[in-house]
Amino acid sequence: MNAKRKFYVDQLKRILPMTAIVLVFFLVFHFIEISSSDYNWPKYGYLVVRYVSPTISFLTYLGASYALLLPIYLFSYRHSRQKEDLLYSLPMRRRTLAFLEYLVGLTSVLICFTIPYLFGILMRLSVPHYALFFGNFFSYLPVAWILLVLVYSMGSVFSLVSRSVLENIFVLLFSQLFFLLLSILIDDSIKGSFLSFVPLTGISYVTLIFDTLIGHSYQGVMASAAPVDGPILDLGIRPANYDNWTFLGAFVFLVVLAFLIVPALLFLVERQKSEDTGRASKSWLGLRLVLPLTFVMAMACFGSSIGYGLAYAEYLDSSYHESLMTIGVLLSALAYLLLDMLRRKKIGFTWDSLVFLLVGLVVLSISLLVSRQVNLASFSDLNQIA
Amino acid sequence: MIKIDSVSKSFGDKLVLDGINLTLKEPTIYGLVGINGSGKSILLRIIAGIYRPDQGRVTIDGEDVLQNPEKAKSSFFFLNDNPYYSPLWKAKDFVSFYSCFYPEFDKEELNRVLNILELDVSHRISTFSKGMKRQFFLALAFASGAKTLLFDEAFDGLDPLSRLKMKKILVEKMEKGLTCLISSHSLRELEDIVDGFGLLDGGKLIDHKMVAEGKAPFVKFQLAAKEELPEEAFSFLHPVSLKRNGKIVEIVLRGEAEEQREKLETLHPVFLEQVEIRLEDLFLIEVEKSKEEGK
Repeated sequence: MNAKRKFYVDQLKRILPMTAIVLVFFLVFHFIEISSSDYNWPKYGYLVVRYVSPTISFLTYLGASYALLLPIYLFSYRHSRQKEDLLYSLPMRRRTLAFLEYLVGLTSVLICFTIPYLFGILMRLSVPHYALFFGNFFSYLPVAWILLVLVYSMGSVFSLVSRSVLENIFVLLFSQLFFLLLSILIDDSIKGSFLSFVPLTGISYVTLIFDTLIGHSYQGVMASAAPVDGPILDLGIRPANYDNWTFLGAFVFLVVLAFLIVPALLFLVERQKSEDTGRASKSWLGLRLVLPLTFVMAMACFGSSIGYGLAYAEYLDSSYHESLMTIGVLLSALAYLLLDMLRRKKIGFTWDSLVFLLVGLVVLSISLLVSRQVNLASFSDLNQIA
Repeated sequence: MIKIDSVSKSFGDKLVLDGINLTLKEPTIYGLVGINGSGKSILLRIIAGIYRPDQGRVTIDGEDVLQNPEKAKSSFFFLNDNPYYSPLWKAKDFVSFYSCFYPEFDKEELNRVLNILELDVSHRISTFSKGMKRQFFLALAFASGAKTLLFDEAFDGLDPLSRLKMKKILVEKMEKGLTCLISSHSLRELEDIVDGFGLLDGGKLIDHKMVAEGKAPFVKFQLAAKEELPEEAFSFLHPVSLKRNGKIVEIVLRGEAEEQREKLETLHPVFLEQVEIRLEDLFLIEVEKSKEEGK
């Protein structure tokens, strides 16, 4: 066995306990999901499944979360000088090391998704009179794999570009919120399922790419190139709705996208400065722009979610969505200004707080402008469920 | 052979290494000495291929450590001042890990060294004391089969007995053809094992010589006078270094021992003895000299 293969096997063994725990966790949740949706178990179980998983399996959300979080552990050598000293002094190229770590994580992610998924098929088969369309289940599998590769690759890039664990979590949160806000603003379908957009689930990419970019019925930017009835994930679940060539085209596009990230990742690894490891970024972009932007986006998403929550509960009209988003953004900007003054024990604005306020106002203006361009969500589907 | 060729490194505006040149032919134990912040650890990390130099290059047996890391790095083992270990790892996990990269990793040698050190490694490494961890990592380095060892503050945290045992193993390894580049802020710690040493100060290698060669031009005396002598009393000797503690004086002079002794006799000391010059004295002398030149 050569050094690379030996290292891969050794690392795989090392994350085996973690893989086992995640696998058991996923099996339990998938069992609950199937039980509650297929057997008409308690109503709340059905509602949870409906909200958390409007288009794809809850298991995919779990898999995507794991795929986003696992790179923080796998590429932790980018966040610790001690660990980096150990690994970068070994007789192996940095890109080889990063690629092997990437493969180890990918193996774990795919195992943790595929075994419960196959278990789910077996579970459904055991139910008498249950009409199982094998084609649906097996056509969904490669779609989900590509989706997980995509999310995992992006998570790996986030881990490799950040210099510390905290920065990694921050970059992850930033990206999630960015895609989430973008999704909320440009895709009507997302507005009706606010609970599914909990940051870190990775669903932002999923929905953005599948529904917005490709989906025809959701006016995605590639709609004219993909003349299909529904989002691509629906295609995976309902093969009758698509023509094979469209599905193949979209699938190949995602495969290429997912695997293009890997060479980009390896390119990054070779060019990184080891001496920055463990040191927080002090760049203007990092502290003065990205930080306020994250807070502002979080508050915008939070406000929007609350708005839809209240609208769903019939406490508010859906048009309050914009107002709550505005309040969220303004409150976060004001809270920052107040905290900054308390920290300095001085009344007045600093450059940081002014940038924060400015970023808030810019995000808010864009949000409102874009919101007015698209129709507000229709709650008819939610009302039906209710 | 390790060849460091005009290596410079800056962090922002701060120049931490300034045109370092050094060639080490095996087998040898070479000490890299300097005060804290002098750039020892950075130089070792550059040699190990962890940091990239802004200028210059490092080759090991003719292979560039950055261009051809697989070949260049397989011949050395780098141990930093605070080695990484997973809290869950036991000794066997380290063996399995290092065996991936060092095909000549020798488990028997590891056990032999651990036996000499009387170190029980059946528990997790995280339960070890600082000194025990250090001994274990040194044992791993010795067993790795690497031809060159790069140690950053290798004996830090070891008790005197373990330090002695480690030095003995290191010298024994050197006799079998191993080369070791070892950094320390204390020359006293290294002086009984190193063949050569380099003094790093302000990012420059201000002195680089073999031990015997370094000591040759200096003599050191200890003397006691009836009454406390002022510093000016010694000025005619142009001392390289002078330490006074009441009536006791330690003086380092340049030149022949007998000639200098005769000069010192003129001060009518009640006690005068030549003592062995230590590498630490040389280090302090060079640092002082470098500061004066800098002025």
